[in-house]
Amino acid sequence: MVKFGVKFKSLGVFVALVIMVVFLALASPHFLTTDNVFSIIRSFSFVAIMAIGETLTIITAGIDLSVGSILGLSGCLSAIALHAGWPVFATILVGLLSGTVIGFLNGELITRLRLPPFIVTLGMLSMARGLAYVVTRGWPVSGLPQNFMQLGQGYIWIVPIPVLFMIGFAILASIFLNKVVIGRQLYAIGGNEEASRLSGVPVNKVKVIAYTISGFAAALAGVLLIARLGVAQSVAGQGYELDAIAASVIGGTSLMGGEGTVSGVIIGAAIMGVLRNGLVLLGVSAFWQQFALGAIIVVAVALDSLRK
Amino acid sequence: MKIQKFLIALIVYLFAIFYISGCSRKSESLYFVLVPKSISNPYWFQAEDGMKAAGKKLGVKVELNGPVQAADVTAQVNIMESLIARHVSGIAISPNDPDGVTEVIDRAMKEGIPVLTFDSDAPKSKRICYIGTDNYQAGREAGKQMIKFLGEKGEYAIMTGGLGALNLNERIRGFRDELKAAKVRVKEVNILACNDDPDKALLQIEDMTRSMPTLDAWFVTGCWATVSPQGAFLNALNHRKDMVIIGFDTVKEELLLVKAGLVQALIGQRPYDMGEKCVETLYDIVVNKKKPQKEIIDTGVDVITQENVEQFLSKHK
Repeated sequence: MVKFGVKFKSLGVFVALVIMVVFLALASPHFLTTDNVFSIIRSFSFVAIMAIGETLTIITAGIDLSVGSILGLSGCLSAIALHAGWPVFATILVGLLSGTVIGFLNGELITRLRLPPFIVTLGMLSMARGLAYVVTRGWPVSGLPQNFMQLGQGYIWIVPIPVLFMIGFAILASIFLNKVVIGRQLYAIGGNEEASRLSGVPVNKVKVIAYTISGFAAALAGVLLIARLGVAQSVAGQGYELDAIAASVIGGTSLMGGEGTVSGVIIGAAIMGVLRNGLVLLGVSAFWQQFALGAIIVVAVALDSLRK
Repeated sequence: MKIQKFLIALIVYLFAIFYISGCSRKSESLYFVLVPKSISNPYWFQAEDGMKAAGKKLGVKVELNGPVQAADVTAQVNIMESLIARHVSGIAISPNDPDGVTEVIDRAMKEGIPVLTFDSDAPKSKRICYIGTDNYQAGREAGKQMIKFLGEKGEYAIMTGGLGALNLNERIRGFRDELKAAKVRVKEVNILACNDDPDKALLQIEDMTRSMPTLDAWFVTGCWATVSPQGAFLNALNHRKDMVIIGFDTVKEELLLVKAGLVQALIGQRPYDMGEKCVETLYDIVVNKKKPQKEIIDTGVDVITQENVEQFLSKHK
């Protein structure tokens, strides 16, 4: 019942996605093959995971600009640990922990020092990226063990493993936002922070949780990405925060706070992924891709604001 | 609600435009795609020219498609995946990182799409061959030029692009080996990476040159710093016309810098030849079923100094 109600809100973008898929299927015989479809889903799964975390912060009327840098840093740290011979499980933990800690720091700075989320996470964007450069000295880290790379390149039946992570994380996030008290409190804070505080919502604690999860999500995406590529770059993830925000907004999340669904975010990420794949498939000049992706974001935000 | 419908219609309309523009390309004829490191570096446009010329001569469709952001491995992988889905006839790629693209190159080969590397190699992948400069030898030549202009003693710094790029690292290796073999007393002060961003390159050079007055020379492994107008370049050098600059490639702006005496030598690659040969080799593989005899096809280098720069400038008319 809840799932259906959630999808109904994002019906507009879902229809847009279906239209895009139909067009591409007609335009290219290579589009609707299982290989290509799962390939596209895998390619946007990293952004989708980040975007889900990002959405939690946006729902509180905040924002997290550091997710791209967290992705890079967590990937680098995991890769360095792998290179040093640590067991795979420990290296994944290192990566995830780094993002969680940074997310927690973001939350604390925002709530305790009452600093604007934009500024704090913008600063953290540079700091985390800087740390990624420091630990790698700029060099990419490759030579990752085959069993670790299965996380990013492997399949279970025909489904790529990163896609399974995305689905799993999405289900957990959806339950969190709909069934768990703290999750529901995110919406209250975004809708009216003062009223929430007065009615007893532990605003600061909840916000910190939102930013911590955002950091964790970015780190998860970072670990999966280096497993996919087989190499960790200190510049990995540059600009991805914009992709995460775009996917979230296209999916119906309001930048004013108080609104947003996990299914919307996934559809938003899917639209961007399908568009990217589609433009290459159609032979559109690479220069136009940037323009097209930006245009979609503007249209989506316009749609969202007009809905009010 | 009305406006919502209008905006959905707008999306549909925009997409229809793209669909129609793509329709004209949809055909069963041969389609070769070159994937450079990025499409924002003028060096690749020379490769594109060669690619287009060969495409015209052989009657095949060719396309240059690469990441907009420089040194972006993920974007290259995503583009390759879309090309595999599109089942193009052949791909030539210059990887931002040799390991990052290995999996997707192997998958393309498995799907029956021939893949070559050009300009920079991915030796661990199943690519058919590499067409480009012998970067190690090019590096050694650069070393020779540095010794010629700098002398037996001095301090130099290296400016490179992406630290993951195999071709650039090979040039650095050759450069260092040459200096070691010649037994000169030159000192390497530092190595900076601009990640293929020309603005960043100039800023980094300016910072370093200003903070180290004892710096005598720069070795730039690509063209990002030297494709600037004279004024900007001189500014980056803090107006030190006595500095020795050894650079790479033959983009017009840098040739002009050589003519003006601001850059002492350029190791010229032949990207036009690379683009041309990629298309020709892919055509051979697909149509004539002929595999290239050599796995490494060296397109060679030129050494450009003030003496012969005019000859290269004339090619840019």
